[in-house]
Amino acid sequence: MTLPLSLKAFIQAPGCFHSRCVRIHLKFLKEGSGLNDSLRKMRLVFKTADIGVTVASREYLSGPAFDSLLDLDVANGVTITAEMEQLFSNRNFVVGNDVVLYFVRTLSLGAAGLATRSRGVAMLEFWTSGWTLAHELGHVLGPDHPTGEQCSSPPCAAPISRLMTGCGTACIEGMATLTPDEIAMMRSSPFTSPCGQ
Amino acid sequence: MPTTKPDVLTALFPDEPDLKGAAEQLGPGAIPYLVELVNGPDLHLASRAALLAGWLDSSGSVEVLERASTRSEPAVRVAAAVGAGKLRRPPTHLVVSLLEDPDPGVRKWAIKSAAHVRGAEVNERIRQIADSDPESWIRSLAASHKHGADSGFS
Repeated sequence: MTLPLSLKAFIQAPGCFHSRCVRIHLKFLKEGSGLNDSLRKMRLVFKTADIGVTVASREYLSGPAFDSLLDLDVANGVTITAEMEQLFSNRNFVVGNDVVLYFVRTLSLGAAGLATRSRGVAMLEFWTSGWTLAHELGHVLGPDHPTGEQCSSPPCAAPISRLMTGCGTACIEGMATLTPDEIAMMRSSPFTSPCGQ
Repeated sequence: MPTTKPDVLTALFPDEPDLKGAAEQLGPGAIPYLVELVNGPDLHLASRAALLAGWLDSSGSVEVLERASTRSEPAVRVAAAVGAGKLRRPPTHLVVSLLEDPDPGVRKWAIKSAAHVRGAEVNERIRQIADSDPESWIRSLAASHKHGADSGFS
C-alpha cells in the first residue's frame, strides 16, 4: 500500500515548487535551539530566488575525533586550517555539488558563521539564529557583502533588509531580501541545479 | 574622536566581524565598553568583546580577558583563551588559570596561547597536561607544545 506523503516529506521532496534547488547536509558537533527557525527563514528567502532548499541529511558528529574540533581554529577566515580540513573531510551522504553546513561550538575568529565557497561548505556556531544560516549559504552560492555598505552606529539604527548585509543580519526586520544580481549569481552557482536532478 | 559604545557595538554586530580591523579603528578607548559587554547577558557580544580585547592588546585588555575567563559559559571562556593568544605578552596568571579550566576546549586554546608565554610556571603546567590530562587529544596537543617549551623557554 502506498501511503500519502507526509507534509514534511512533501516540503522536503526534491523537485517541487522551484526551478533550481540546492541540497544541504547538516552536520552537528553541537546543535543549537534556533535551527528550525533558521531553516524556515532560509527556505523563505531562497524561495524569492526560486531556489528550493532540501535538507538531504542530518548527522551528529561526536566522539574523541570531533572533540578537538568543537572550538574550531579558522585562522583569518580565508586560510583553510588543518582543523578545517579535518572537519571538511566528514562528507557522509554528500554527493556531487551538495553543500555541507557544519555546526560547532565556537569559531576562533568570533564569527557566527563562515563560508568556504571553494569547498561548498559553511561553518556555523551552534547558537546561530535568525538569518545567519541563510546568509552563509548565500556566500557559498556566490554573493559577497554589498560593496560600499556603511553600517549605522549604533547597529540597527538604519533599517536593513538585505540578506547579504555585512552589518549584521540580526538587524534585518521582517523579510530578508536578495538583489537581482545576487539571485542571478546564486542561480548560476555550481551548487544549485535544476530540481529533481 | 573618542570611541563610543555605539561604535563598539557596530564593530561587534556583523555576522563575520573584522575584529582585527576594529581594534585598529577603535583603539584602547573601547576597553571600558568591552568590560561592560563581557559581563553582559548577550553571549555573542561577550565572546566578541573578549576577542577584541585580545586584538587591542592594550593595558586594559587583561581585565576584559580575566572577566571572560571567569564566566560560567564555556564559549565565552574559549574566547578568553583565544584572545589571550593575541596579546604579545599574555600574563602568566591568566594563562595558567585558563590551562586549569574544566572545559577541554578552553584548555586547547590556552595551550595554543601559552606558546607566547615565557616562564617556568606555564611550562610546568603544560608538561603536567601532556602527562595527565583526561583528554588524550589535549595530552597530544600539550606534548607538541611542550617540545617548544623545552627548547625555547626557561
